[in-house]
Amino acid sequence: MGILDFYYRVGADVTWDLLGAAKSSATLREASGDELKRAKDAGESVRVEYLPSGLGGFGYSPPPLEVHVKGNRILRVLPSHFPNTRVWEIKTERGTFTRPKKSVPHPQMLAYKNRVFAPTRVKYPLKRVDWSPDNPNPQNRGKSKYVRISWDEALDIIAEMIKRTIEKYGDTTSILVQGDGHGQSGFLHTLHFYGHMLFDKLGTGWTQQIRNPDSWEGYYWGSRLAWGFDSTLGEPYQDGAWDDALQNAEVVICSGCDPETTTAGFSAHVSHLLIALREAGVKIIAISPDLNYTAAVWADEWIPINPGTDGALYLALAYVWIKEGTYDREYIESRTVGFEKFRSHVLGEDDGIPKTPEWAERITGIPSWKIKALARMWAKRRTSLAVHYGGPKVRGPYSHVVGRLEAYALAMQGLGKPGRQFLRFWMSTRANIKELSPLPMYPEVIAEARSYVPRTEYAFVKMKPPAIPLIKTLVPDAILNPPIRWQGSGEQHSHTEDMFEKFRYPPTDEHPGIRMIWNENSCYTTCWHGYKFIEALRSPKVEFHLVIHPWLENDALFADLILPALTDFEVEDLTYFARSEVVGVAHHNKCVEPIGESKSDYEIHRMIAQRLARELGRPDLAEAFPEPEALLREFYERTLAHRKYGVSWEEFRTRRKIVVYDHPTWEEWVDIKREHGYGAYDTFMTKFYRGEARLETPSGKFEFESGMVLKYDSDNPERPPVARWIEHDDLPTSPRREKYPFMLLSNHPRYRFHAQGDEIIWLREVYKVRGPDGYLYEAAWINPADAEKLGVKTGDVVMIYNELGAVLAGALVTERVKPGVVSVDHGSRVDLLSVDDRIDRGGAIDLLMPNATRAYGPEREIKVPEQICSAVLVGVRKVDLDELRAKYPESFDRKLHPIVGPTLENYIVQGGSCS
Amino acid sequence: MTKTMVIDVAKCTGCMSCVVACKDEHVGNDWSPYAKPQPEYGHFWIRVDGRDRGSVPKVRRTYVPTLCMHCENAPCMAACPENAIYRREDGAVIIDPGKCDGCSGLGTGPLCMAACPYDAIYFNEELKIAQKCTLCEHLLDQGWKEPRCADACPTDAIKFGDEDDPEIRELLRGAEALHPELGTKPRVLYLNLPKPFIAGTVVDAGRNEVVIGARIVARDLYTGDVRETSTDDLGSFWLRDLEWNHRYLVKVQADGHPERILGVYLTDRDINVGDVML
Repeated sequence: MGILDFYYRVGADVTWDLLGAAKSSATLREASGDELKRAKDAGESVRVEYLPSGLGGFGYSPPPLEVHVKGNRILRVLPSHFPNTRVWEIKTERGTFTRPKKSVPHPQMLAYKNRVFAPTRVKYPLKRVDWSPDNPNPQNRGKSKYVRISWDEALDIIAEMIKRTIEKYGDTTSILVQGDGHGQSGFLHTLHFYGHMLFDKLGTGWTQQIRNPDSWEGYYWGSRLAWGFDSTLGEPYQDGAWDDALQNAEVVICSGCDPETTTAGFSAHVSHLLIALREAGVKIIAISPDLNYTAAVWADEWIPINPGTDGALYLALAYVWIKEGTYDREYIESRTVGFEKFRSHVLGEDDGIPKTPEWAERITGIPSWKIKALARMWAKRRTSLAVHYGGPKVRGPYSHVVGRLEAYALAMQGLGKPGRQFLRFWMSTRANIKELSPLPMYPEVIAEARSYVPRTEYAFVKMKPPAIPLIKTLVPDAILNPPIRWQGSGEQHSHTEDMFEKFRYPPTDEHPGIRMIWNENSCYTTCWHGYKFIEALRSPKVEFHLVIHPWLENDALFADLILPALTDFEVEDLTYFARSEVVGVAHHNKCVEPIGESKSDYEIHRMIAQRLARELGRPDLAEAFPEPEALLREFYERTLAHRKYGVSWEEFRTRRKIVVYDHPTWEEWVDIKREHGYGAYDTFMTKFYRGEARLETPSGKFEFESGMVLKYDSDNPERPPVARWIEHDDLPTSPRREKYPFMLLSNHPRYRFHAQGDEIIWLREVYKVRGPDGYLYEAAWINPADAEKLGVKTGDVVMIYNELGAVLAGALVTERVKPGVVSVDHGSRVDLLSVDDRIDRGGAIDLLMPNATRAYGPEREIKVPEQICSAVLVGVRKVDLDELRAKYPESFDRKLHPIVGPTLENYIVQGGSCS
Repeated sequence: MTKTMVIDVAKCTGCMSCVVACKDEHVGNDWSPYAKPQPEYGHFWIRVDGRDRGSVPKVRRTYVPTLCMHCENAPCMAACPENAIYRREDGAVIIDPGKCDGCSGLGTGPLCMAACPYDAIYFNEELKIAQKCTLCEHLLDQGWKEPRCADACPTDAIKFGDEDDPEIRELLRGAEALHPELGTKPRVLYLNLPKPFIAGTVVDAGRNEVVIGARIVARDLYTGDVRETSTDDLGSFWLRDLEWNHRYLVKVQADGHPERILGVYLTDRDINVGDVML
């Protein structure tokens, strides 16, 4: 194993030919520039470090934080400034648009001191007090507390458990590794995937948890059938998209999308794009159950819709367009296949139900006259649809139906025609484009600035045997109800055909199933049908649950052993930034000494590998985890900064340069586009519209009738060849609504990143709702009309419940949510009043989410193993806190941090203090 | 060399970056003699006051970042019994943490806190002193161009600079004080402070269609001013930037329908007249 084995080549479809297209340029800034001057101005001996500024993980970040450090103290955390960098300009007939020369990250990043020094930090290895290899007491997971142990003891336990697994089951395929997804965004040290790599190198297999497309389910499982776009996560290529939007669009529909929240968390703030749209005279229409944070300040109009019912709206729009002849017939004839069957369904010729605006009104809650007006506006004005990944509409039950029907609506209006685009606010080129960037960037920078990343593919690409794939959404059933069968690996960048591939877990009847869980994220409970996950984590089948995480929260509360990971601020690493169109590389030293005995995710796996190497006589395992600086140097030397601009590693590291790549001038950009066969305002979809490009569908055209479904799974009513309306148990029209009258909306949180950052004091005191008991509850948005019926006012504590359990939240009575809907953002920390009674005080709303097996039953093959994390029916009622206090005195009588709530101290055995 | 701050409320998205940046600068950092450390929680030397406006579906949210206004005629200075509050040459009003004793002998709590009409002063329980925004003078004196809140604003809604700076001067032309009626002459001024709207949708009930292009006429019954707009593609209308606490007579005129008088509306809040069914 050499260092090279550590890397994965990205952007494989970007060819070297592009390099000639235009020369890039870069701002070779030294830390003796403005930042250092500012740091110096602020006092002697202040150093500047460039830290990752997002929590998207996978080794890359938005433009870096500028951190001032004095001695071993973080003095201040500033947004990114790049005053000398040339930034893009888009010149249109409606004005010239650009972006600011600073990048302001999500506010949680500016509050990172709160995370580094959080009272929830795990400072030492912790073992559940009543767990031992021979006596695991799984029933006490989530109940009993933890004691401090040494690193040596912790490594002994891990080596022992792996050896026992091999002895007992013959190999290590019964070990489920969850190491994926979001997290801190350091280049090397804080990545989540090293567990996969460890077992891959060990060679005796593992169960690889495949990360499902958790924020764009509907596009992944649905829209791809209509238009392909496998490499861009099921959403149309964004090549040149914003040139067209700013030149041509008259209306942009933010369909559930909230870039002020989602994009800000992922890629830093993009308010400048919304300002640009407004300055270009574009009308912004928001369609969402809530007036989200973008809509509240930037939209011209809000069309409230019942959660998860957008499919009915699209069918009714299609109905109006068909009846009035206002769809693009020529496009339908020349660029699409299967429209007649869709037309027949819209008109009700197949099922007797014409999908009229009146029909849709009953489902969506949008008045039929407004649906008709929207249809006519959409047909008449050049209208684009915008998302980040996807809003709440594509994260609920049967979101694949919504995704397909949305694509159909776009096709009927000639998707790709000038001003009629599918726009994404996320500017990273990594999973967004075919060959050209959404905003002006040099192709060379796209291809080469970030050619290599650590082998994060472990975290989202299905590995070869002896790895056994298991989609994340079905993990609890794999533990509780084996065997399970399903279609589709869930692998993010898979080909559409993967959706029809059949899987089974465990792979054979003889296989022991999941016996150990290697948990690098600690967020099962907050992001995926949590109560079911808790049941699975507490199953006696699970002999050992290891959590590696910096904060004692969520899944860690159900761990047997917790290893203290650390934050980016506590290690030397690179900050590689490419989550927005501002791309470059920077270096940071350790800002503060590691908290307690914490180690980085990389160092922890390196220590485990070294221990196993010794105990198993496998020196290659230790070699698989090289010394960190060698890896950093190797990566750096593969960047343009080194290869083209000649900055040596030593110079880069010791003088701490930051390299930011310039954007081309508008004139250069127009030339670049011309060389690729694009006009100045063309997009990839414009080329498709003109017949100059093919889609990745079997026909190469837009498919109302999916060639893939016809080929592989043609008589499946759950996923028919032509998307159609499907009634289900979580629609507002469902009979279940008598018992569960509210529709639950759950969005990405404005002041967290999924489940990350819930401990941040400076934000908690802004957005949490203080209950009468002084506890800071997660907010539940309730419309005043519903609040009156429920007898609640802002600050009251409400219980949100369904068959799976209950979650408490603080009522926030607001006109920003439509009547009948209760909205609770996901990712608030789990704080159970009772594991057995399934009642949570922390507001971790995803505890209440069902998984796909509810619709299918655990014994049937699951056709679409989607994640459901919004748009389900629930009950809501005001709670009597005195009653709860009497029933659960232990929870109410704890000594809590006044803002953070539960801290490490609450979970440590008395006398085993970790202070 | 008088410094001023101009906050464009129309550009504020409520992201809280200013709030967090202020805390990042001042919590745990001792910038004496400008300021002692801010407590871990509970102080908002800059806060963002959000307000929901209107009702479903005609709803907006407005955020107003609010901090010490560094008033020329500062009530806090007048109230302070220790003369601990002073004004710098550049106009900033500073509570001297060395002189302030939190009015501890008076049994009243800090008098400056009670005096401030903008609720911009906080009491530090641990240090027993009153604290507030310093405009980050500890940084400005070292050559920084703007305080942390302005630096952290993603939309440059918070602009800071010298009154004589042409850009600031231009911004100041349309700027106004929050509560100018108090006469405290703030040095922090605002653009686009919210003014009330009357909004609604016009529908032809018989045809079950929105009415596009209907004229909406609102007469300000106090001033006689007439404001007009018409319904858009979705049948919607928004009469924006009306005057607070005036009374408006609102009528709808649509082709093929008799004129409809909607009534008289008092703009003590934003108003959604709802769906007007003609």
